[in-house]
Amino acid sequence: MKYLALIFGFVSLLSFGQNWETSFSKAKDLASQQNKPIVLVFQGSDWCAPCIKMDREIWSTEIFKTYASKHYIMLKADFPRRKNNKLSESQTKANAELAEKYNNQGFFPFVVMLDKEGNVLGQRGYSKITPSQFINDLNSMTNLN
Amino acid sequence: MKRKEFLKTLGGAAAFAVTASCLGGCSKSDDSVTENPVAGLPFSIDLTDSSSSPLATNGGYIIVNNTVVARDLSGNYVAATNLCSHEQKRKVIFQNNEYFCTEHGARFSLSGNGLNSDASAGLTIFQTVLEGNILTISA
Repeated sequence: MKYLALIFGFVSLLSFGQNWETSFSKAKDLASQQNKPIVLVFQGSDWCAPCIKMDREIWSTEIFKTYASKHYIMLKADFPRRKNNKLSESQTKANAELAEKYNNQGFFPFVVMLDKEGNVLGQRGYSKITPSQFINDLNSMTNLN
Repeated sequence: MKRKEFLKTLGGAAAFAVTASCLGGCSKSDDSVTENPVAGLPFSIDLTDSSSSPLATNGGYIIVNNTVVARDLSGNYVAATNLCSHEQKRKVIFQNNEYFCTEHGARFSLSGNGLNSDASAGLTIFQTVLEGNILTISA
């Protein structure tokens, strides 16, 4: 039974994972090909409590993931602080460049809606709202409504 | 153990991380919904980041996410909305150990009480929690 639980846990972790892009150029390519906006999320996955909260309440929910897979390109810029979560040097540098361009105030979590060329359509922080409300809010920044 | 229970145990650690750092700050935001004056909260900043450098000094402040984050003259981190209650201008800064609206001069104490007539409606104050170099601001 223990093993079964482990297997279930593993499988569900796999299927629950948001399909995050980590490369800005790839995200822009995909956005152009599929004609979707980019949702860029700045987070500190191992130190920023509000980010963890937002992940649980929005990004990891079935409603959001299902919708996002069809309508958005999800791009994550993570800034972990623990040694064992450290990203590759190139990824760390790429994320720092993204932060310099789109999050120069340096607060987390921070969500930036971008068009396929990387122009800012809108910005949001954490809100205590449902995934559906959040989707509506994101869409109000684009012409998806 | 059922699958749901198992997943719950997985979520426990994350839930603890959130509640432990929020302290009393979360309960208020949990009750509020969409168009609240505290949208965008809670959020965290890294005090070692160059954008936070004014906070290294007592009396220093930054404006981030429509919030005045300051280090008062006693060395405590304090935060408030930058939206002045006088004429709804986002012009509140930190000066002389109090919040000050540069538009018409409304002055608010660290606890958000008005210190002159333009400030009679008070200022919304936020809670701050410092963990290491991470400052989290919540409603």
